[in-house]
Amino acid sequence: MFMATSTPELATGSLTRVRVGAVDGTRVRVETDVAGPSTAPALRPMLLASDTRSARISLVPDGAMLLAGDRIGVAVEVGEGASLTLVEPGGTVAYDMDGGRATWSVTIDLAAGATLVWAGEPFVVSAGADVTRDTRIAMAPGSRLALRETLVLGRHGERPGRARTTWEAHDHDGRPLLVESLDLDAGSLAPGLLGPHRVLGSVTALGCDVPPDACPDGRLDLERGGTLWRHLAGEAHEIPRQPWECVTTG
Amino acid sequence: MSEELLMMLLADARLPVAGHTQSGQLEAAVRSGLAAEQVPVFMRSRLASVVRVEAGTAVVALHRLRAGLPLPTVVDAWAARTPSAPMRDTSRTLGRALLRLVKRLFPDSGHVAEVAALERPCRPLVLAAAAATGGLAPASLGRLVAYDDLQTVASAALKLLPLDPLDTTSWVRDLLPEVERVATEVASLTDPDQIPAPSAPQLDLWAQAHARTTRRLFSA
Repeated sequence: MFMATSTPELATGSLTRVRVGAVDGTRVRVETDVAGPSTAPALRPMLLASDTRSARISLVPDGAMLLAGDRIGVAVEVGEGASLTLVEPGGTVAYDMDGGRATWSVTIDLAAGATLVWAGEPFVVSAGADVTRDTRIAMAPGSRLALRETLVLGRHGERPGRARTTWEAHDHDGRPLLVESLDLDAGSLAPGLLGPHRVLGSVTALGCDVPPDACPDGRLDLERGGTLWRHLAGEAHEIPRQPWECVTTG
Repeated sequence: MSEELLMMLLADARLPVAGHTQSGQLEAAVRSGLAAEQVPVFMRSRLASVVRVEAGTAVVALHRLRAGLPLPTVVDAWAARTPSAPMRDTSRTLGRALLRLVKRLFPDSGHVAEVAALERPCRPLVLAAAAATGGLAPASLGRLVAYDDLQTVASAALKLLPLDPLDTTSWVRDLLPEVERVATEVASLTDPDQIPAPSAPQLDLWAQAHARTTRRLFSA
């Protein structure tokens, strides 16, 4: 799906697939691969640990990223009853693209009873960068998602670059749970949008049991279940850790 | 009824639809330090975000009412694009007040009856029922939603900040081209998936904070 839209930019595109299959035998089945030219920057999945039901994988950047023309794709599937934890060794910086653009696309498909915990690290959009970030999530009954995202507009003391994000989660019937788009640049540092803050922290918990009164600060309870925590800050380290701890440690 | 007259009626601040209880998060913004001269940019932020969601929802609901298509997918799309529970609640409270009026104005309308049969319809759906009954064009409905939002904030600003009504009215006038842009953008939408989903993180957080305080002039 990701590779189907053929543009010249795809010469530098990569698609990282991570599949954690249904539990069979003594270990959960883990399949990973990276498609695309070997010279293309990509996220290399490295298995850190696995047991009967769960796997822990690090997405390690391979090659300089994120530069003009880069197209990074990640497709994550977690099978019935299985559990996957994704970590990133460090944040990602999108550099000045001098009029060019880059894309970062994530699809997440969670089967019945599957769990994905993805501890995203800061994604920094430098001045002159122009990044499209798309996230598509499909949730089967009983699946659980905990996703942390931190978007930083500009490196320290720098003007914001441009980040166009779309984010959609649907349940198995195709009914939307959360749909959002943000088209952020220097103009977004306005009252009501980001205010004077260049850092937007999000923790999304779908299908998780979050106590109704836990972590009220920045908490948005969604119509059809699920919670989104939002925080705005001047620096990434000022984003409170409590929502993530609340979601991941129960 | 002429479209123009119906527009004037529905856009009139004197309608008994609880508009005076609303500040569009301006009260929370002022509490957190928003200055009088920032009100126009605050209005612009709303037009770029929540207003596009509401206007898009209204226009898609209007299309579906006229086409005889079911409305629950429109409700789902709107709710998924409105992550703040207090904002959803406010829209439904305003929808109820507007529905009382619209039922009286159009007692025989099947469109109004269809929306009234939904559980706590949000305001854009009730407006769509009035528009479908009164013959408003989709672009007119988009203008109505966006214009009403500007005037709601402008009138709340006069109660919250030491402002001259001539200034706030000029600000509304200055933003009319943006109202037209919103209306043009949403006018052709027919499918719930097409409803714009631009979020406004700070408005969401202000709505949340405001719902938790008890010392306030406006309910939202």
